[in-house]
Amino acid sequence: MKVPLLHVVATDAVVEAPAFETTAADLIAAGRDRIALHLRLRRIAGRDYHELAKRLGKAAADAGAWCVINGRVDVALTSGAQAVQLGSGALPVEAVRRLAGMRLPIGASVHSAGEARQRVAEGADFLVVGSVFSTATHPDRVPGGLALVTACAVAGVPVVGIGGIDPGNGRQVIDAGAAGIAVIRAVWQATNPVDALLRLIDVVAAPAHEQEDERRMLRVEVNGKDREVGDGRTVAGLLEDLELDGRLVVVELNRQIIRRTEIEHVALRDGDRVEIVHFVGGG
Amino acid sequence: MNTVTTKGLAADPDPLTIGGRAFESRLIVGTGKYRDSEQTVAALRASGAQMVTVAVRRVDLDASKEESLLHHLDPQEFFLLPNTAGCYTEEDAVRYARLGREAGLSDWVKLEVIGDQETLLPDTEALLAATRTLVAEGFTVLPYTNDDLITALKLQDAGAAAVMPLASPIGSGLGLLNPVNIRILKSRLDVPVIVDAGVGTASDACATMELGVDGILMNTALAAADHPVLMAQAMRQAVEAGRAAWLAGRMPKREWGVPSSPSTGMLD
Repeated sequence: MKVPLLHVVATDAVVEAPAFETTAADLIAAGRDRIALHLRLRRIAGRDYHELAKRLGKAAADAGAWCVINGRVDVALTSGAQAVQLGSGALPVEAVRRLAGMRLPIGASVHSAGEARQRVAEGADFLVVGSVFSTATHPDRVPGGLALVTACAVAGVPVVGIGGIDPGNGRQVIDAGAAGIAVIRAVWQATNPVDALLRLIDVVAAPAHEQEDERRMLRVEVNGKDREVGDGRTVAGLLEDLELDGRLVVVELNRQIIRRTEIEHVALRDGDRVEIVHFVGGG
Repeated sequence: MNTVTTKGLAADPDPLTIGGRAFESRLIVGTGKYRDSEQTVAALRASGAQMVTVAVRRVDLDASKEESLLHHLDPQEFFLLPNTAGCYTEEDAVRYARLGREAGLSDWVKLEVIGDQETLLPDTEALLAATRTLVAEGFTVLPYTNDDLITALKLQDAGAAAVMPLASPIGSGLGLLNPVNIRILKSRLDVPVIVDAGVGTASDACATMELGVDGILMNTALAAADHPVLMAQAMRQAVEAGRAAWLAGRMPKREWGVPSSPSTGMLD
C-alpha cells in the first residue's frame, strides 16, 4: 500500500475559517498524488460533512490525491473519500473492515510500538504515529521522538509521523522510517499554505529521478518476464511499481514465500525470480 | 453469511462439520468459468453456498488494473477455499497450497493432483504424499480423489479433514457414474465425504445427496448452464431435497407391486 507523502489535517477551526474550501482545493491541485487532506471534524452537521467530503473527495480523485475522513466511517463510505483514519477512541479496525471491505484503506492513530503492532494485527493498512515532537495541538502529550517512528515502522505497514513537524525536522522523520508526515500548523497557519505545502514536499520527497538513473539497474524475472529494477529496490517497491496492492497478492521470491510483514525489508538482487500470484475464479 | 435453509424443507439440525467449522449449506461451489464477476457472485448467492473454491494464479501484469477477485467476493460473506488446480505433481500442489495459505484467509486447501491431462483424473499416489506433507504443516486438507475405497481410507489415515470422491470427470457433466462405490465410501469413512466433480444437473446433485454423503461440490454445472443463476437455485433445492430424502429414510425397492389403496371394502 502506498500512502501520500504529505498529510495535511483540517480541524474544525480550520474548516470554519473563510475560504477554507478554496485553499483545500488549491492544496490538492498543487500536491497531487503527494498529498492527503484529512478532515477531522466534530462540530459540522452530518449532511454538510457528507457534501464537503464529496466535493473534496472528487477533487482528490481527479488529482490522484487522498481525502481522508477521520473517525466518521459513514461519511467516508458515502462520500467517496479515499481513506478513513481511526483515532484511539474510534471504532475498532475490524468493525470498520467488516463494513468497508477492501474498498477503503484504513489508517489508525497510535502512540506506541505496542499499539502499532496491535492495530496492524487488527488489519490497519497504515498508521499515523504521534506525537513525534512537542506540539501545541496536544500540549500534555510527551513526544515519542524519532525512536517512536522507527519502532512503529517495523510493524509492517506504512507509518505517517505527526506532531510538531515542520520543514526543519520533516526529513528526519522520513529518514527514521516514516512513509509520510502529517502537519496541521505548518500549512494552515502559513501566510501562503500552498507554498508551505510545496516547500514541505521538497524537504521530504525521495531523491530526484536524475539520481536514480545513476543507480545500478538489476535484472529480475517477474511472472516469467524480464524486468529491470533499481539496485536496492524492495519487494514492496516492486509491487508499487507494478501498481499492485500488497494486501491482495502473494509474493514468492526464488521459490520462497515472502510474508506481507517482510516485503518492505526484502531487497531484490540481480537474477532474482519473482512470482506474484492472487486468487482467481476456479473450481 | 448465507444461513437460511429453504422454507418448507426439513430443517437439518446437524450442519456439515469439517475441520472444526460448521456449514449450514452442504453445497460447495466453484468460482471459475462464469461470464464475469457479477454473474459469479449472483450464482454463488443463489446457490446458498457458504464455502467457495478459488484458484491461485499469476497476476496478469499486462492487464491494465484488473480488479482483484477479492473486490467482488467478500471473504466475510464466503469462506474461500483455495485449490491446487492445474498441479500435476506433489511438489507443485504443495507449493500452490502454501501460496493459497499466505493470502491469509485460512489454512484450508482443496488438494488436487492431476494424473492425466485428458480425463483430469487424480494421481492418487502423489495426492497421498501431498496430503501427508500438508497435514504435517498444519493445513486442513480436502483432497479431490476417485471413488476407490482403499485410497479414501489412506487419505483419511493421512489426516485429511474430508475426502472428496469424484462423481465423474471434472467438467464432464456426466453425473453420478458409480453410486455403489460412493455409498461404500460413505459407509466406511469417519471423515465427511463430499462428492466433487462431474455433476451436470439438479437430479445428479439430488441423487448424490440421497446416498447420504455429507456434501457436494460443483462448478461447471452452474457456470456452463444456459442460465447459471437459475441452475444455482435449482442446485440449492436439489441438495436440500436429496439430503432431506436421505434423512427421511426412503422406502425399500421391490420387484413386484404392492397396492397403495386398501384391498378390503371393494364392491361386489
